[in-house]
Amino acid sequence: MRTIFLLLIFYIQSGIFCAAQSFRNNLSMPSNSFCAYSKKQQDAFSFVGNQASLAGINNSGVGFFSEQRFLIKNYSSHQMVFVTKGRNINFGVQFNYTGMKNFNDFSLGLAAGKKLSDKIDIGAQINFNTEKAMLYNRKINLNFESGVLIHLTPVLNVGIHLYNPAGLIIASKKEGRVPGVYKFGVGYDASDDFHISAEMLKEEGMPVSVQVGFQYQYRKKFFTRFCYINNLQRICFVAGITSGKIRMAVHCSSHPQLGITPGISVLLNTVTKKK
Amino acid sequence: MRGVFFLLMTFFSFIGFCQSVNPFDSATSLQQALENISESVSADEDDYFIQQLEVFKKNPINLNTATGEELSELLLLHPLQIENLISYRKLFGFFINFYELQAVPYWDTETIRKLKPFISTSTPVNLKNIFRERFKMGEYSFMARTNRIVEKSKGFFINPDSSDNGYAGSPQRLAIRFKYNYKNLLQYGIVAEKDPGEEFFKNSQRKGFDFYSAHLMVKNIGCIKALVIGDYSVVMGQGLIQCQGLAFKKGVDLFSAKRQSPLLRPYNSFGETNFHRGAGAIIGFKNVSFGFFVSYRRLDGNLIKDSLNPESKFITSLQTSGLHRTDAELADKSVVKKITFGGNLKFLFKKGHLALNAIQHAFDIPLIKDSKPYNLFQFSGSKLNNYSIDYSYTVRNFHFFGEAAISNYSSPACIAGLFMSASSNTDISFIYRNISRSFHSIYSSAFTENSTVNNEQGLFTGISIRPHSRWQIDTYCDVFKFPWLKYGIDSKSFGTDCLVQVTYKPNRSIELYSRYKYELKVANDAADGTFLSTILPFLRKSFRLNLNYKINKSFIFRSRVEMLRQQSVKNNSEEGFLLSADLHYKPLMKPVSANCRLLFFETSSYNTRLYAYESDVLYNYSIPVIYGKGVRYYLNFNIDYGKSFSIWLRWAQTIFSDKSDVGSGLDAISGNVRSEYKCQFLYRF
Repeated sequence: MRTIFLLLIFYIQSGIFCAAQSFRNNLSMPSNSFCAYSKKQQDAFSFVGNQASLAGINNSGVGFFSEQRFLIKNYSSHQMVFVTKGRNINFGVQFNYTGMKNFNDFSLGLAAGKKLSDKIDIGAQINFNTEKAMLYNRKINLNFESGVLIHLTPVLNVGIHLYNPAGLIIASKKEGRVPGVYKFGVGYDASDDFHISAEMLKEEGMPVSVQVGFQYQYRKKFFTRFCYINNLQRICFVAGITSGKIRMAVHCSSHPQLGITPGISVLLNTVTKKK
Repeated sequence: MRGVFFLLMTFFSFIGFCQSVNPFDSATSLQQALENISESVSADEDDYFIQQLEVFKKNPINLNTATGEELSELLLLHPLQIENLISYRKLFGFFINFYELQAVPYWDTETIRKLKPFISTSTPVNLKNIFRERFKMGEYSFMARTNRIVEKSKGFFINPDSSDNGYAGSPQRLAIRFKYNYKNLLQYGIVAEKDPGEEFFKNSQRKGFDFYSAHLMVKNIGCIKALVIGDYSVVMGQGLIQCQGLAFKKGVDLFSAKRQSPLLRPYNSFGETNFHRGAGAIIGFKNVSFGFFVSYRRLDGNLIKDSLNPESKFITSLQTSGLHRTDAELADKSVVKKITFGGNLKFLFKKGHLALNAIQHAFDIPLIKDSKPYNLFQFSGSKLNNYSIDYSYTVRNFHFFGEAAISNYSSPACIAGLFMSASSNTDISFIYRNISRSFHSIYSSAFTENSTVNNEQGLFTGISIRPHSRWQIDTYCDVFKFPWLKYGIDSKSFGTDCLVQVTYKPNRSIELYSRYKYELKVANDAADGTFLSTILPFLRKSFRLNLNYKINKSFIFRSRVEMLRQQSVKNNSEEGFLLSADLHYKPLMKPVSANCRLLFFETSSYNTRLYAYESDVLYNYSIPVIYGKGVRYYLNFNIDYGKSFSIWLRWAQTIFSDKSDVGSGLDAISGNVRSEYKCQFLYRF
């Protein structure tokens, strides 16, 4: 416990002089990667932050997420994820759509995660991205991302995630270049219901961004999540309820200048693994 | 095909089970110390320390007979530990088992674990019998190494005969070393090296290699404690007047700041500068020893001839690169003759020592530096004398050490240090230095912020606390000032350097440390074009998180994330970022090992450059300066064929995403990729 508090202090301290807007992050749902560093609170969205977390899923599931950035309808973002358990490898699919008819981003990602040992999980994802702007050509590119999760102790996990490392594009037009994003995170399961984590994120050409937060579950029915991102002092809050195989949550993020971004998510666990 | 398969099977079937890896690879504190050295000076290629640890691995130091000087050669023990070990041995007799070491004051399990490969507790044997064996029971070794930058730089495309001074030789670097060693009591060998761009067995290098070195060293023949002929290095006191070879400066390992090497050491490294050539000896009796040496060398220098009076000539600087690739570099080669004499008289006491040191360097051509303001107090002339007194004394849990020196009878310098074990889990260190602006010495390396030993006053304070068996907190603060101008700083200046490091080791497999470093320094205002620029303070803050994780008996995972921010009064802040992941594979009882690293970096400029230790082939390490934007990776592979033959292969590549050319001047490479391969083999017989 003390380890993490100390790390968090260091992260926050180091993050004081860093502020940036990160690439393709959902504003009201920064916890995508948040729970990737937990063995106990992973969900179908976790692999979006680190594909290695796919290795640890026990359920197949499907999730929907939608947000309206700064309450601007034309700047809405939608995400759908699907995860399934394989024999040795678990798989995930991710759809993202942001924008409106004439100006939009679309990406489709196919991910896989595998448990290398009790201590190490790895994962990778390939993305097909398109970007449409009226009167301009549609930009298309293909890139990949990968992650590794290390379970240092049963409750302490660290992970590295590389999105489009070094800007390596498999196929693209010159103007469709997507920057690389590098992440290093630590998560600590203080109990079955309480998880805290910290993550450092570096996007090419942008200062380092630091995200810290916690998630708390109450009787496995209610949960709440709080995140602070030093990137323009953003604060995010999530509250949800679980009923059977369905989990619903409302998300909210505040930006000091641009205002509030509301969001909603639904998660459906289709199959429960019997132990 | 079957033939190839059969050959491969034969090769692998004879593979043995000995492995050699750099001792730095597993010691994070040593890696940090090396990174710190690289930040202030370019690391000289001296692998003596690594060679010594390899020797100790094969011929462990016997703790029942080892002297304090022998133990200090390990660089892994601090003076209080050495002092207490010797006292304990005197009181309780010989050690029977390693476990006994835990009873020695200031010896903790971590120290014992680090030392275990290099020490033994065997029964002492008769030295007279060993002497006969020195010439036949030792080990010969032959090592050859080649490496090159794959992409040819601009210098290789220019005709060497043109006025643009292209490189005449091939881009390969070649290095060989042949050595005989018997438990450090007798060793001799030769070394030869050719740098990239230097010719080989033709024109300017008709003798083959550009650099040759040979040495012979014998130890413990009656009252002659050491005798060395050929190339050797000298360490006196705390390095104010002479310290050749690896010398640590600031770091989390507080005790590594003390210079504690023997006076004379054989030199058989590939660096072409930092050594003496001649002979030296140490004659020792019970509590007194006298060491002396003489050296004659021809050094490289920037020679200036007076156009009106050709007889009048002088050098403005001594060249230390060892590179002789172009006509201009060849013109500077061996232009200065230097004769060096020196001596050391050392008195050993029960709890310390006192030594008198003297050294004189004489050049046949005077050294006269450029008439820049910052050079006003620099050494000029053809003769340099240095004298010093150094001491160490241990009383209870305090260890005092220091050196007071004088150069050319007028300019003083001193260093005084105190190591204190305040309690079983707290160590404190103080080091004060006051070095005159006109003090000058050659081949010196004291505990200073400056890369040269002069013009500095400062106080270093370090504390190391182990509040719990799993936790360690290391912190230091160094406050310093420079009473005269420096290169790049046209005024008196000052600075502060502070560091806090918290290390967490929940078990033997995991080491996680966080480091925060704060530096306040000054530099010239680049926008001020006046003769003496105004100076501006700048602040540099860096944070590092480092993980070492032993996954199982064969695999080790390492990762580091580091970020740095530099702010100055006038300019916008600049930032640096680095993320790396390493995987080391070293199975037990298997003849192969490998490791690799993937590193991403982005820095605003050279000002926010970062340093990261890299594993390399045996006897070698690299700490590249990382700046710009891109990705770097390397792969190292080692295979041992029996106990006598080993091969190392290395491939490293940096891909920049913000550059179309890499490097500058003749070393500029067209393109954004810089790749290097290295191949080394070692044969022991």
